[in-house]
This record gives sequence, structure tokens and C-alpha cells, in this order.
Amino acid sequence: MAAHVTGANRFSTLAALPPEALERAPDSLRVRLLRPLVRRRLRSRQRLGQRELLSPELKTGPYSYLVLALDGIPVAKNLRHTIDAALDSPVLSRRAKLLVFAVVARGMSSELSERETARLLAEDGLDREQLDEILAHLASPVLDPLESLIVPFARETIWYRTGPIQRKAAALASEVTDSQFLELVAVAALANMLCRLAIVLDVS
Amino acid sequence: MELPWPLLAAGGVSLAGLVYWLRRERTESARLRSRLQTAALDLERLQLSFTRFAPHEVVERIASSDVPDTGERKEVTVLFADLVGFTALCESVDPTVLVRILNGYFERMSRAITDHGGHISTLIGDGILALFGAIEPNPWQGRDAVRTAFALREAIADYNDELSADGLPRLAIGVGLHRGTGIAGLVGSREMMAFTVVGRTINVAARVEALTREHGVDILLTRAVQEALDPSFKLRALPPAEIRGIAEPIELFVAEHIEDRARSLDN
Repeated sequence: MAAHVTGANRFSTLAALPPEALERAPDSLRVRLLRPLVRRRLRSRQRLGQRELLSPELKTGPYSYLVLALDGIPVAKNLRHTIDAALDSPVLSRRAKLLVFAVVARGMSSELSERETARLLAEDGLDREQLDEILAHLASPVLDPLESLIVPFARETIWYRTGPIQRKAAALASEVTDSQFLELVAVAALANMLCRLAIVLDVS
Repeated sequence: MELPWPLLAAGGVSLAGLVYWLRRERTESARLRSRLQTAALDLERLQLSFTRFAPHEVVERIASSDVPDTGERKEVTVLFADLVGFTALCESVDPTVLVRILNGYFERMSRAITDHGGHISTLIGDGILALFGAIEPNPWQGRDAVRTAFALREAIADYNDELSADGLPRLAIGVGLHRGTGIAGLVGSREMMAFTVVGRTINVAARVEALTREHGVDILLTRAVQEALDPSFKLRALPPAEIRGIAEPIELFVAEHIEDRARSLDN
């Protein structure tokens, strides 16, 4: 729950989604009329659930240790699909997205997440020494122009400071395309969520 | 079949009672929700007020009664900044104008510090003590602190243009940076506390800042800060300096500028 809230929080903060409409929603006539129906539907799902075990093909892949830690509850499958879809999306390169994960992992001192990300980046041709230089200085000659913007931005998303986080996001948004910005926001939110999930689940 | 009138009367009374009860419940619910919203707004205003005196992370911990009563040993980078010639400025400028100048100065310094991941621990006269890595872990605290120093330099230059346009004296700052361990925590008495770091690292940073006057530069940092920087930070080494209270001479570097390899969001 905490990890999910972090992810949602980062997404809405980085994208500067105005909160007033959401906060007013419960008082709208439409929501009040639909509330009893929604309540009944939610209560029908609160019956004791059955374990939903992962199929073999869902037990492998990037960050599988997190997915396996949740094996048995429905969110495990969703998490697997979310991670795969995020990394497979073509808007940003896989390497750029993994660099976001690496920066967040380093910032949160999540050794397991950093190790896993380093392994995945090695598959993309970035060796550990190069990655260490990038993570030490948030800069490196091996980064392309887009990655040089993304890497320092990723560290801004780690700790929740609304003002600085949104100022940096606004500056970045003016340097990249809309689809790149949206994808970066989603990846940063996911990276923060996964790192916190690893900490909360005490996965090692 | 006609219903007998007592039954009809009883049904009518029951219906009226039900309607009355539903309306009363709805009114009570609206009243409670309004009180809850008011209390939530009051709490938010209170917390916002407190964040003027302490970093919001510390305020949140206090609000949740999660304040450690012991300090924590942490690796921190300390930035000391103050105005060159502040005493002379105090004597030459009207008090009202001085406060206005100072507030503008603090506003700009504060923004530069928080934008680069720092926390302002203390304001002493015209002096600012900022900390990096004191609240949350920060593997990039050295980089952040030096970038902050450059941002302070830029902010003062911009502010000086405004001051000159108003016919007011221009300002100059000295900044000292050092990195090391310290004890971080809430320090003070029951009536007055501040989140800060104590220890030798603070003393060294303060002494380094004072040395900016002697060397005629605005930003000085120690080897402990320099070690964490990449080559894009252009520094000039100075001869090791003796610092009062420190046995061994301290290696110092003048921070000149940054050569960004690519466009950066930090500027």
C-alpha cells in the first residue's frame, strides 16, 4: 500500500496534476448517486479470496524477486505486467529507463535493486564501472544527450519535496517531447515504488 | 379493500418520522464533515507554519510523535554562507531598508539551497548554515552542495541587479564547504529547539568560510568535498591552511565554475 501510494504520489506530483478536481469529486452529485452501487460492488469483492499463484512464465524477468515475494495475491501478476510493459515501451530507450531505476536505487541505498538494475544494464552493454561513474556523479561521457537530462532528474524524484520536484519537472518538460516526459514520469514513479516495495517486503 | 384509518395514520406518522430522521442524519453528517475539513485545514496551516522553522520532514516526524531523543551520527556536507561587509552595511543603511534587503537575500539563498537538496539549519544574523545529507541519505551531497554554492553566486548577482536598480548597496557572499561526520538531531531546550548537526565538521566549514576573505574568493571547499566531484567542476588548489582548533593543515580549493558536459536542469 505504501509503495503504491508513493508511485501514485510521484506520478501526480511530477505531472503537476491539479488536486482540486479530485478532492471535490466525492461531493459531486454523480459520485453521491453512484456511491451505494460502488459500495455494494466493493463489498462483494471483500469475500475471502483464493490464492492466485503465478504461472511459470511470470516467475522470471526483471525484478522477479519482488513479483515472487507477492506470489499468491493478484497484484503479483499486475506487477509483472507493469514492469514488463514499462521496460518494453519504445518511447524512451530501455537503457534510459533502467538508468532511472539505478539512480533511484542508489539514492535509497537499495543494494538489491541496484544490483538487479546493474545486471539488466550490462545486458544493454553498460558495464559496472561505467554505471558506477554515472551513479557517483549523475553524469558521464557515455550518456547520450537525453540520458544526460534524465539521470540527474531521476534523483530529484526520490525524496518528496513538491516545489523543487515540480520546478525540475517543468524544466525537463520543456526539453523533451510530451510522450517522453509522460513516460519518464511513469518510469520514475514505478522506480520509486519498486525500491520502497523491496524495503517494505524486506526482500534480500 | 380499504385500509382502516388508524393503520393509514400510523403509516403516515412512521413515514414522516423516517423522513425527519433521514434529514437530521444528513444535517449531522454535513456538520461533522465540515468540522473535519476545518480541523484538517487548521492542521495543514499549522504544519506549514512550522516548516518555516524546521525542515518539513522533521515537522512531520514531530507531528507523528516520532522524534528521536538521541542524535544520529551521519555523513553530512556543511555549507556556511554569509555576507561580506555586513557590519558596515548595518551601519550605513536605514533599519527598515536593511531588513528588506536581508529578507530578499535570505529568500533567494533559501530557494537555491532547497532546490539543490539542502536544508537550512540555522540563520545567524546574515549567516546561513545549510546541511546536505542530514535528514535523508544523500550519496550526491558533495555535488549538491557545490552546485548550491554556484547557485548562490548566481542568485546574488541577480539580486544585486535589482538592488542597484533601487539605488541600494550591492552584496557579496563568502561560502565555505566541508564534509564529514556529525551528530544530527533536535538540539536545544524544551522551549527552543532546532534541527542541526554538531561536531567538528561544522567548525571546519565555518573556518573555511572565514578564509574566503583572506583569499579574496567567494567559494572555498575542502579536500573532503573535492574528492566526490567529477572533472566538470573546475577547481583551483590553494596551499594547505592552518585552521584554529584543527591539528593538521586543511587542503583547500577555490570553486571556479562548472563545465557541464551536457545541458543540465540544475542551472
